[in-house]
Amino acid sequence: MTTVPDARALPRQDRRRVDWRSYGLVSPALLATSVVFAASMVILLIYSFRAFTGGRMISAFSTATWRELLTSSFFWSVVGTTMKLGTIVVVITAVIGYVMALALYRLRNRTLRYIAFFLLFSPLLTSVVVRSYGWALILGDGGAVNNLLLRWHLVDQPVRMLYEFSGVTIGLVHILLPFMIFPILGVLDQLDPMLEQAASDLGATEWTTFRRVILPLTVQGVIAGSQLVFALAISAFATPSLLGGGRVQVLAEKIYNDVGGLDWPHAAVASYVLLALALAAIGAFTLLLRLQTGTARASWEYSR
Amino acid sequence: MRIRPGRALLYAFLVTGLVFMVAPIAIVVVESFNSSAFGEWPPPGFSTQWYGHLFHGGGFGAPAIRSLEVALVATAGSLVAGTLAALAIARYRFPGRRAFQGFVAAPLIVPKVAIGIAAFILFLKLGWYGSLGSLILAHIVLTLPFVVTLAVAGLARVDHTIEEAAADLGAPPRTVLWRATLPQMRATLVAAAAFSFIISFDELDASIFLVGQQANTLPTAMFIYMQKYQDPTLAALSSLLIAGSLVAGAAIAVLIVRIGGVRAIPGARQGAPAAALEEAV
Repeated sequence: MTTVPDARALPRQDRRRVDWRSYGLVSPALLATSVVFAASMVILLIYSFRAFTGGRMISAFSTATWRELLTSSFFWSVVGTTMKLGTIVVVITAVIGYVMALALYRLRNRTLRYIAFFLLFSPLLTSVVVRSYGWALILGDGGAVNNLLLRWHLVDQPVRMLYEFSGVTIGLVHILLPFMIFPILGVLDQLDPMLEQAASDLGATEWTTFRRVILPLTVQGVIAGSQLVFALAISAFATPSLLGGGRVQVLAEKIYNDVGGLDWPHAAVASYVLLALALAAIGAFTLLLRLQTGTARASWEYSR
Repeated sequence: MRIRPGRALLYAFLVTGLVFMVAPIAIVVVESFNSSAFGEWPPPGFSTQWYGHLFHGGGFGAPAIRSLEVALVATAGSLVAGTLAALAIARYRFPGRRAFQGFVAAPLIVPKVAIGIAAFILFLKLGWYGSLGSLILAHIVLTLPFVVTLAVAGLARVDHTIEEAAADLGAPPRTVLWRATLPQMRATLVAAAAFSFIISFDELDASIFLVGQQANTLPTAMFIYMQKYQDPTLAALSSLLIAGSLVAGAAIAVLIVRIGGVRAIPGARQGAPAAALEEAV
């Protein structure tokens, strides 16, 4: 979806077949990304083929670390927790995000719309650590939520949420919700209002219009949002560390702990497993998006 | 007006969602005035002692200055390198153009923690570990995808007739760039700069591996503090940061509206992160 202007519209000098000046222009970005990103990722891959035993690293090629981790039930439980967290966060943000995006789309009062946007996106300006800290205050045993629950005699003892999977989930949903709402709202805003009018004129109830017209046309926004949220959720580090308190182990935390223990090979393998999961998920959602747009186009053409 | 229960329910849900979004931020501000040292709830009394504690021996001064330095220099570097790269991508044909565009966007799809440990090992090998320069370089690489994506989209909207007119009137290419091209993409560049600054200033996942023992940035210092202590000093600091981000956010919003509104920023509706990710895939 690169938006390069038509070559014929460009000034004449730009139509030369190869302009070597362009390599000069890209070189700072190319150099920085090559060194800090590409070269370092290759070095990390090399380190994943080293062994770490007895507190020291052996600098010979070895697949021992890969074999050890891929057969370790503890490692798979960490992978499981990571994927479970990503999946649950996607489902929750998709449902909440869709309804909120729909409400924002329906909201016609400009002032209220601006206020809603401000409240929705201003949390993005504050650090993830600040927001996790806020949730720790709310969800703790003596925090605001448990205080209310106890005072209203809804529970006898505090509900444990902080340093539990539920607390991490709540914190991540909060951080990633805007990333779901943004793409859904983008698709909703492109919806032709005439479609809704037509459905209504043909006697469809509001619910039927939503189910048969609006939802099918905006599913691609949900898929795009889910892709972003899932990729960010499985790689999240700060929120699971701070709200999980070591009791909820995800891959990003395991990598951090391995580095703390000077165990680079294990950290390297875990990093590449995390990268593989992220790439697989992004690929799966892209495929889903293509299938969905394909189906939508086919049915549109059929209906013509 | 017809009363629609469905619509009322929808708005009620929106309000609940917005309360959820604001809750952790509001609670932090309240907590910063809590007289209790271990976050007793509801606060037994009002106190400003945590702000005093913050300024006298809180240990956040140096990290705050370091974070500002890193964010400012990284933003400037990313803006220059990213705009130059975008000019090449949008204006010239050259072998490897598509590949380069994907390559620069690639750090976006790799988990930050992985980039962090990879860069940590590299910097250690090169003897750069712990230096401010290496951290800035890493932040430039992390922010480049956003700058390049925004700038390429911004360049596509630049009116070529103005550039051609400038060239026809005898302006050399450099003058055309400065006086005809870049002024037309002011809103895009402001948005890209704001994005880069926020990402760099709040960056934790990769930076936690890259800051040396004595060179914490604000997010890493706060992360480490929160793992050790639970007193409201962090709430006082967070409240100041929240106030700062709201002021900065308002300033950026006013600036963008004065330049030409949100519509002047390409991809504003879908959200730049989503657009950048799409570009990378």
